[in-house]
This record gives sequence, C-alpha cells and structure tokens, in this order.
Amino acid sequence: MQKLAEIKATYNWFFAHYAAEIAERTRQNDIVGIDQMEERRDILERGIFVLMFGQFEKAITSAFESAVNARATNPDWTRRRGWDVSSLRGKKVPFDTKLAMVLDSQSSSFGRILQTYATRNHCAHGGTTNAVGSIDALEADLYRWHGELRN
Amino acid sequence: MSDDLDAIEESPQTTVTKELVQERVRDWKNRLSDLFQEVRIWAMGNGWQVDSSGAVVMHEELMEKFDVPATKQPTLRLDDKRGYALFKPKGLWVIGANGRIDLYTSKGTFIIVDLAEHGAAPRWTIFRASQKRDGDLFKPEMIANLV
Repeated sequence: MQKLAEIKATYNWFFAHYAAEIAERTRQNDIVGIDQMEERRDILERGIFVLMFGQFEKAITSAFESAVNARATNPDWTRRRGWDVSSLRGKKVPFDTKLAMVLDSQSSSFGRILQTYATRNHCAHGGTTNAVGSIDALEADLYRWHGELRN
Repeated sequence: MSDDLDAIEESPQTTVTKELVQERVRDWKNRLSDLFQEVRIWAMGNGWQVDSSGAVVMHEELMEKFDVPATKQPTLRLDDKRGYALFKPKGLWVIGANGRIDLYTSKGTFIIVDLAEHGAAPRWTIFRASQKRDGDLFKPEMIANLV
C-alpha cells in the first residue's frame, strides 16, 4: 500500500482547505451554504475512497501472487496440490478468490472487505451517491486488514 | 448483486424492503435523539446556550427507491463566548459506518460516525479530534476542547 499515505495526505490537504472555507458558513449557521459545500466534499471523498481501496486491492493481489508462486513451484506435490491450477494464474482471478487465499474467509474482516469492495465498485461506476462515513476510519480499516493478510 | 443500492444495505441474511428502510430511518432518528439529548444535558450544565430547533431533510437513496417519504433530522447548536458547535447529521447510509454526523465548531470540522453494527448499541466515534488513527469514542465533554 505504498501510495496510501500519499493519497491520505492529499485528502488531509483538501480537508484543511474545506474546513477553513466552510468556517464562516458554520459560524452563521448557514445550513444551505454548508450543504452546497458538503455536496462537493461527498464527490471528492468517494473518489478518495476508490483510490485508497485500490491500494488495498493491489496489496491483496501481491499477497495472493506471492502465496501462489511460493506453493505452485514446490516440487512436493502434496504442498503444490491445488495451487498450480491455471485458474489461479493470470489477471482474471476474481477478487473474492484472491482474498480467500490470503485471509480466513470465516474472519469478521472477510465479510466487511467484500462489502467494502462491492461499494467501491458501485462508487467507481456511478452506482451510488452515498457519502463516505469517514476517510480516516477507512484508512484505519485498510491498515488493519492489510495486517491480517497472509502470503 | 441484484441492485446497486442493495450492496450498501443487504447482507446474506437480509433483503431490503420498504419496512426495513422505514425501521432503519426510525432507528437512526432515535440514535440521533439519544446522542443529542446527552450532549444537551452536558451543555446546559456547563453554561452553553443550546438550540435544538433546527433540522435538515433526510431523503436518502434507499428511501427514494422504496418510496419512503422524506423526513427531518434534528440539528444541535451550542453557543457560548468560548465558541460554537454545530452537530449536523449527514446521513444514515454512508459508506463504512452506520450513520454520520458532521461536527462544525469554531476550531474546525470533525466527523462523528457510528461504528457499531446495525442493531447493536451505538459506538459513536469521533475522527480528527486527536491523532489517533482509530478515532476516539465520542463523549459530550470533549466539546470543551473542540471549540
């Protein structure tokens, strides 16, 4: 997740400007004015959400490929067994398959990651206008999930 | 996945219905009301001028889809010579949380989200009030340091 910190720092830069610009409207309790700024923030935060989750997707792919490569080349068939099938090669391995190979599918994180992935897809394809809860909370989740991945 | 919006709400055990959406809206407004009441009690006991007469419209995607009429969410405003704090609900169906409130104060902008699963007791967590990556559990007395 090399670029995650950079993406988050960019978001922090935006958020500082947002907070400064909205201050006068909040001081005056200008709800309509606040709503107008929040609409722009929503769009930017959805974009940041997609970019940040993309970093996590890359980390999953990397862990998955390491796991496959380490086992598929093992001369001992009992350890290679199942890992050397062609469906685990190439770029078209489904996200949930890759995830299940590097994270316990019975863990609580597994379901949340899949749900976040589904939401990420809807965001990326214009399927939702829902706001992001908290980019900061997302960052914490991504680092925690990343720490749970196993090669 | 049958529908874009279903991904936000559906789990393997639930199917989204109008009744479920209505129930979620009621639950959200109850959680808001409980939290604001807690803040109000603290604020009044500490000399703040409290205004809970404001409201913002709630008519989110799932409500529109299931023909659930728009409703109002309360806002909460605290004023004092020390500064101000405006609690403005953002919405229930937000990505990654069970509802979000924006807290605008004379010192900055903070985000309060409920990180509890639906049906569990709320876990209101505030972000940007400290350097903690996981945020801080929100307590009304925090306001004193955020204005």
